[in-house]
Amino acid sequence: MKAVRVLILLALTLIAVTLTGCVRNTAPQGFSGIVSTGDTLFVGAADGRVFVVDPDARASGSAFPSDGEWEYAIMTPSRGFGCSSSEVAATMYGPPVAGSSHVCVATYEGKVLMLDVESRKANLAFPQVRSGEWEYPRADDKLGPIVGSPAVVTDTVFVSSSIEVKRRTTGRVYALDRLFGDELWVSEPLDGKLWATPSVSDGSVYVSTFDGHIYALSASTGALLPWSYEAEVGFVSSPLVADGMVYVGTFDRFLYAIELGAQQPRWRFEGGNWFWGAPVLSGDVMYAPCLDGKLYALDVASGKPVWDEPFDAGSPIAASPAVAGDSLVVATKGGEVYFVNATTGSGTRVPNAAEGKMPTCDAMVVATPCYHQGIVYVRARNNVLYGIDPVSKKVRFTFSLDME
Amino acid sequence: MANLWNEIILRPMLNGLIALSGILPEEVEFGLAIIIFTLIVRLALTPVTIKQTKSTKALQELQPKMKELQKKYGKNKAKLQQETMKLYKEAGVNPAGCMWPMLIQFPVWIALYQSIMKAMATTPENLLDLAQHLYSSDMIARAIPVNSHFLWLDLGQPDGTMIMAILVGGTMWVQQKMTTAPSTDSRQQSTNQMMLMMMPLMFGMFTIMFPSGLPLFWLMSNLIGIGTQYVVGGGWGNLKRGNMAGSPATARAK
Repeated sequence: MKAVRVLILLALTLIAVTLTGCVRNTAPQGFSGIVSTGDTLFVGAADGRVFVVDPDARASGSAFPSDGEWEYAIMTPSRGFGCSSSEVAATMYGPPVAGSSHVCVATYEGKVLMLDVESRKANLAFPQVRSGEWEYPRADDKLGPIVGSPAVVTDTVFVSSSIEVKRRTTGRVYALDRLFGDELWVSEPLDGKLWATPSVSDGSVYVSTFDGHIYALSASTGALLPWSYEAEVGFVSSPLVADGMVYVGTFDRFLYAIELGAQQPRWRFEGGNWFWGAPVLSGDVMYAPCLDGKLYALDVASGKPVWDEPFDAGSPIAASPAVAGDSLVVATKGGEVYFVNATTGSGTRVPNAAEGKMPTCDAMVVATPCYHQGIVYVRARNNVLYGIDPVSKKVRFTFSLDME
Repeated sequence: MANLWNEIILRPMLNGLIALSGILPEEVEFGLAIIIFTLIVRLALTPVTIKQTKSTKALQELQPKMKELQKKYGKNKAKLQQETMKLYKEAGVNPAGCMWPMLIQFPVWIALYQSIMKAMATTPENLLDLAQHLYSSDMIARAIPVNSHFLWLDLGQPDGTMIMAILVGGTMWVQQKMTTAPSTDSRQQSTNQMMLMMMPLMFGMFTIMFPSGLPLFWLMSNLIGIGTQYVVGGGWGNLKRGNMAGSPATARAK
């Protein structure tokens, strides 16, 4: 009987450990990144917080916030056990979208917020309507999960979200007034999950869905335009629209280049895994990060590799590369950061500040790095901001975004 | 070690589950894939399960004799142990026989849990993680992402209706009741009673908390367990006999 009791205890422990692992793995955590505009650097951190940081103050190790710096925590209603309701930190995946005086963020919990820089700096209650702050939808309403960033074009904010309609997951695109957050239009349901950042070009909004469609909508009315593209497999990345072409990655490990209006891709390039992060265009060359751990340089017109060999980072690359002068900054899931020569594809690894042989960052990097005023910024999943000097290729400072 | 686990157990199981969902009707693909996959895994483990069931049954049949030994040698622990082992040997029973099969099954269950959770990829982190576990195959690429809707359930979300919680808890209770031997020892009997209630309640709670793909697997697993127990154990076992034989009150009366 003693053996049976031990066995029962062992079984319960195993079940608890296994299930605890499952819970931890299913909770969304977010991997929002960094964006710069003018002199200001915005960081989307964990715990639903948006930071504005001053690079000089961070490099000198000054207490946060120094003059001009601020943080704002986005909270979302939560219902736990029983009838009590509470607020928990929101989750952000796409980086904030910054303008001269405002920054727009979207949360996985289905809210779009426009923050006024001055109001947040003054730590006023949100929203300061007179200063152009708003949230959509208002009050306790919310959309389905928003994974991509909003796209802000002139006076309109475009955002995509996924919802359930008649027991099917469908996507919708929303157009909101940039000044007041009023709903301008909502698209009809689009088949398949929509985790993409909308791409806006020449009066049209383009989105890619998990069920293998690229849809084009009128930016002014939200009506579906006659052209759409259907692939045999789903699209894993957001579409990048440039010069009449759409570039997008699929679940069968290809990067597609499709001419707008065409029904056949102009070219497609096969990687060793998904092209999760958006490619970066620079002149005639496209730099495409892949989860197979490689950065590919492709000729935009033909899709043929430009370098003799792709740059091999040795760990999945989920983040888009940042362009820093004649280098590309590549950050990997293994936490390594490299400067890759855009012409030759040769890379230089950034050593860890404390222990050179360790990965550059002490946690994985999924968010796209940002090059701003001579410093490369990387946010890792341990919620630490790394400032890297592109000349010495060394970590200049680190700043923990975990704050009370 | 983690790589070994991923390559030998998790990846084949995960890719098998996704590939299977790719060939099933789209409306029910993943729910049906979980059911079929659970069935396949349980079938593959049938020899182990049968061995476990038989060992448990044999141990239960020895209970009266063991009780006698306890009465006879209760104060002499060494002698009691010696006589108990002798009894096992004579009856051809290995007390570990009901333990090892269960332990062997655990890695498989854990891998199946992980496969289901990973395949559903409910969050962007999960989807990113899934990419590292998939084989390069058109069949698998076409099946991604899996359709998480099945009957009234969204397999990626907890079931808000409580139906699954009742089904999982109920079937677990039935399965346990069938296999729990009535004991003449009142202390043992009350432990059994507590376990009989605690496990179904615990899993009922888990069902409310977890994405319902996992409770669907538990439900199927329980149903198959009940079927196996019915066939191998020769009927409804202790479920039909109820508490009469071994209730604490009866034991006290004896």
